[in-house]
Amino acid sequence: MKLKKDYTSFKEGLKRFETAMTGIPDRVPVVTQMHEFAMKELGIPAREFYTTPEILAAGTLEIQEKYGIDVPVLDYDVYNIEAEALGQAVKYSDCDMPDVDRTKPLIRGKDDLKKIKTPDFDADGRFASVIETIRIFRKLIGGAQITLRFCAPFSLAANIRGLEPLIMDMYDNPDFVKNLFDRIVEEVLAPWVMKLKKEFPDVKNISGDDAAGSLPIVSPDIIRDWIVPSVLRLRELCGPEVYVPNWVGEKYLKVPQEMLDLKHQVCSGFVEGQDPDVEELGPALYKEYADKKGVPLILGIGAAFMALNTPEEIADRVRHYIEVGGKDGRFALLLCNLGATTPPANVKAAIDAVRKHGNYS
Amino acid sequence: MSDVYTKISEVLIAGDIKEIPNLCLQAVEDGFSAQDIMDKGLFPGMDVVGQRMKTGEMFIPEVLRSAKAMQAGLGVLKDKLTGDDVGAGMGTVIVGTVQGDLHDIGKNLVVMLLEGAGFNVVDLGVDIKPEQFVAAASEHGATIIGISALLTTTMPKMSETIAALTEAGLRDKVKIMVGGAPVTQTFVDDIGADGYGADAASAVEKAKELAQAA
Repeated sequence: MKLKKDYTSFKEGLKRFETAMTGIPDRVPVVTQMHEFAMKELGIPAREFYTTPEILAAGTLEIQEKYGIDVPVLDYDVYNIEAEALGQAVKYSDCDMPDVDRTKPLIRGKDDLKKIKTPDFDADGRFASVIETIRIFRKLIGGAQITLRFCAPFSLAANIRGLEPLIMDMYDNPDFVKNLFDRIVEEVLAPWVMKLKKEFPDVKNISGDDAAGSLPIVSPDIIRDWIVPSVLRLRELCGPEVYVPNWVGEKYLKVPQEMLDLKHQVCSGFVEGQDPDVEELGPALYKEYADKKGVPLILGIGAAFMALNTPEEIADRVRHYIEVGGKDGRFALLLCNLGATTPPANVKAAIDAVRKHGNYS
Repeated sequence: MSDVYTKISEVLIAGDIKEIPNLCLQAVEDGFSAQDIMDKGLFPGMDVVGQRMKTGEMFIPEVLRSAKAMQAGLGVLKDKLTGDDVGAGMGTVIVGTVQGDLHDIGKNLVVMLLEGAGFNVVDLGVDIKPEQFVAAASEHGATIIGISALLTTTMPKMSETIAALTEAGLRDKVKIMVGGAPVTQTFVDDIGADGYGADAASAVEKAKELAQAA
């Protein structure tokens, strides 16, 4: 596939998204996370795709444009970057995106905490590659706004300590966990976020990915006592543009709004709900909550649903979420984490359905 | 039920890993049989934990604590059993996360709960190739194989594993369970597995059901 040198066509989609966050655009905008899907579509081995800034940046835009995605999203194996630079083992293959090798945790005990020190962002791991990718990506879209990404404190802690040991530590050795979180936030993430801010001073959104901070992997108490404070501390150090939007699991609570309240503490600019929560609870709950808070709503159709269901089922879900969530604007639709196994016909069905059902005029 | 069993159940539900071995040993010293302590104290406690997980009253961290408490209890009771092997009664389950997938907390939890339900469990770990499942099933005489995947991209490896078991002539000799966040009943039906659980506790219930039907 030949990659272009210019994707400024995305400015129209970005304008649609920005309008949707404050009012009523011409139609509901579509946002996607699709790095694995793009890799598959381009037919490029994972090892090359995730380590070559030009391919990652232009390849992602090429596939987003091909499918008519409104917002250019720069996504990659975000969870690995900081961990790998600290020395955590990461597995690479030609077929799948890189992933932390959970059988070889970096932090096996208290003595290993000294391994958590401020990285050299020019030399360690793939930090320089990430910065270069962002630079190319932004150039290709004419310098338009994007969201910068980092691995949120809890997910980074889980990746270098191991999720199960980390959970046990929270009960048996809370001082150790406090030390671990302090080092992660103050020695690694805050300097990394500040480096991103320095490189891209005009960027307004810096988002932490934190899938591990979801129910039922953790409990509401752990979110309240450990995870929220670590994000708030990072925000205190780096600025209000830092937020964490992607915890899921409100469906596990008798009062789902309690989880939304926790999410609101670390992501106050919008409400985000994803399947399978939205599938089970219904989009109206999220719409009511967003309206109550006076913020826009983003509803995500789940990765598994996109990969495993028929185009007709996907179109029907898009229609349903738009009808409920998109009423009166202030709404965007997210296609979550499109994978290498997501059928292209399903992505096309989702976009077609947005164009059919998402018009306001 | 004896207060001793009730106390052991309560402490297990509370996830007190340090206290459970002491209580179990004290019960043995007081004349209670190791088998009864398991059957009337530990296992009923884990049943409650499983139910609470299903109803959203407990989350993985609390379930993990209880499961580890149960393991600690079983650990001290094993030596006190006379002639029986802990876990031999329900059959052998082979468990692993599919090739290309390195996630394990869900699998580990299922392993602990299966052990708590009396299964003999062989945990193969993560990134397990289809042929490794086949080899382990043959070697250990498994009655159930549990295949885990967290990623939609690695789910196809589940059907490849089932195909490998079929090719090896083992499909009719074992029941196959699959699990992981993206797995649905529709997917289970599509790939020809025998069952799944939406959470760890449900998976164990399904395993019991399959073991009894075998």
